[in-house]
Amino acid sequence: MPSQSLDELLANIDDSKLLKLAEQARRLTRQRFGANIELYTPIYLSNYCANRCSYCSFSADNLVARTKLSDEQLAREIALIKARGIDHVLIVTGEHPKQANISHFLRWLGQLKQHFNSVSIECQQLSLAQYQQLTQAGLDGVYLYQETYNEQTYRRVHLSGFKKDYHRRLQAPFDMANAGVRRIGLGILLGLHDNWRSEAKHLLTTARQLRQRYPNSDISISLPRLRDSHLFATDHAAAKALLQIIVAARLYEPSISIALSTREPAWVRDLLMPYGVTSASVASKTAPGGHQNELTLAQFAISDERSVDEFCQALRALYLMPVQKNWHHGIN
Amino acid sequence: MLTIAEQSFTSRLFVGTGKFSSQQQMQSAITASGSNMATLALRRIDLNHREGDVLAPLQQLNIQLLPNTSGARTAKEAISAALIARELLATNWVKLEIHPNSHHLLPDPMATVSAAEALVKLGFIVLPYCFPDPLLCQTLAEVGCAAVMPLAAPIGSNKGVTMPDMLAYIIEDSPVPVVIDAGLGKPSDAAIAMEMGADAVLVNTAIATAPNPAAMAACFAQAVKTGRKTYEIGYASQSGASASSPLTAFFNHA
Repeated sequence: MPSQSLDELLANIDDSKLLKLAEQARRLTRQRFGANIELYTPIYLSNYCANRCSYCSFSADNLVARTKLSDEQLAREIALIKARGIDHVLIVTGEHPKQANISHFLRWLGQLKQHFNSVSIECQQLSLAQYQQLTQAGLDGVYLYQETYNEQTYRRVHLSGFKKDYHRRLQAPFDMANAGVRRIGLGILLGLHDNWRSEAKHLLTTARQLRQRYPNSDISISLPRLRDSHLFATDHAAAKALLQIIVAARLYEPSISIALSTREPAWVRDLLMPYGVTSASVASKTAPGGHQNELTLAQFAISDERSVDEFCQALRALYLMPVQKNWHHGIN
Repeated sequence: MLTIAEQSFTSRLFVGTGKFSSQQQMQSAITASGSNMATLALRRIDLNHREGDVLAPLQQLNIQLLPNTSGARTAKEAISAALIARELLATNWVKLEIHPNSHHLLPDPMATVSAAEALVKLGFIVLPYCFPDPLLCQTLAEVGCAAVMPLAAPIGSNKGVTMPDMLAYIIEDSPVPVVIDAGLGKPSDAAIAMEMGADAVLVNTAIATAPNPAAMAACFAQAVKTGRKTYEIGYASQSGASASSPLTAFFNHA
């Protein structure tokens, strides 16, 4: 296959060209990853947040009930998630140095590792030494999204708090790699900046840089989307943009993991799943204790609300293999 | 008949299990392959038998299981994986795979030798996946590996036998069976490896991602048999047999 430049892959191309690229990406994905789609679910542990970000419902100035799971609540949440057959979990917290910091993360990680084969985290940016501590304690991956690579937009939407520092955040994945984090999750929040092609270009350029400099870290990308943004007039338009980014990512960096979350409606997920996606969240609740209590504030609205069984059935209909266990606690 | 660590195999085709789109598809492909041994990643073994488990469907087939350490990036991780697999499956066979870089998925030679040495001492029957380097294969045999598994081409690349000269050296000198692993994209690639004198081949991607995996598995089975037969007979350019050599008459006169 002739290798195509990133600019060509992300250019405004006609449907027939995109269709052709999508088919290449689908074949390359099967060749490298087989038919496997790795399943995971986020587990929200705290919604305390010291940042003010214009797009997030956890933002500090939102007058909502703040909560953090107690050990007992976490145990209940674990039992509910395990009962659904989930084996890969992603710890998610708001960014609050007092309510959710490295000592909490280490404690939660210890508790979760007893029950799940793979535990990753999405929290505030930590230091290299802290990433090292978590990795040594058995953490499998760290997800930290730049949200937008456009500095002006970044400053506009991040109003205050540690997260406001654009350049500091750009450094995070490199700190993770130096700390030996196994899987590094990069991401853009589509809808923040008005040019998704340039966002995708920055994201994939960063992914390649990281992969080349740190060949022993796996790179994963996520493409969450603000559904109320004006960037895409319809879900249909958004799905087309997402398809092109996924396809470009696969063809540009064949070994990259690509996650597609429950933020997208079921039909978008089913449509895009074969063309490069390798992992998918399922049965997500985006509030602390969300699996035991439906009433707490969610970080964002879930769109694909299918159960684990329903989602697996949909994957099978697409000739894809849902994989609930793709790691074994104790290897690392 | 092929023998590895005193175990006999009627088929010289080993199969991988990680890329099928369903458990049924995997089962029918393995059955069609006639293979006696399938490798499975420890990380995909799920004793709870949830979606994506490869163990339960394999246990329904009459086939030897060869757990592998896929996902391990260091010797230490590979040893941990082998120990866990031994406990879960009650087998001391292990396919040793260490690829620190998931972009190229090439095996780390230094880590492989050191893990192989440690695992042999722990009583494992070790089949290491390695680069087709004759000296490396020699070292792996010396530390006690039961076979060597040099790659034909990078995993999943379907490129076929890319370094025939190196494989020929390995096959010629190896004191242990040589199983050509990874990169065989078509039955003819497997036939080439077998004609060269490989003891067996291991195929995964080319079967699992074919439009019809069971039919493709049967094609590989045939190619492996034909390739082996060809090697045993000795093909034309190598046979040296010539019924009408002028030298015969010359020597008869002497």
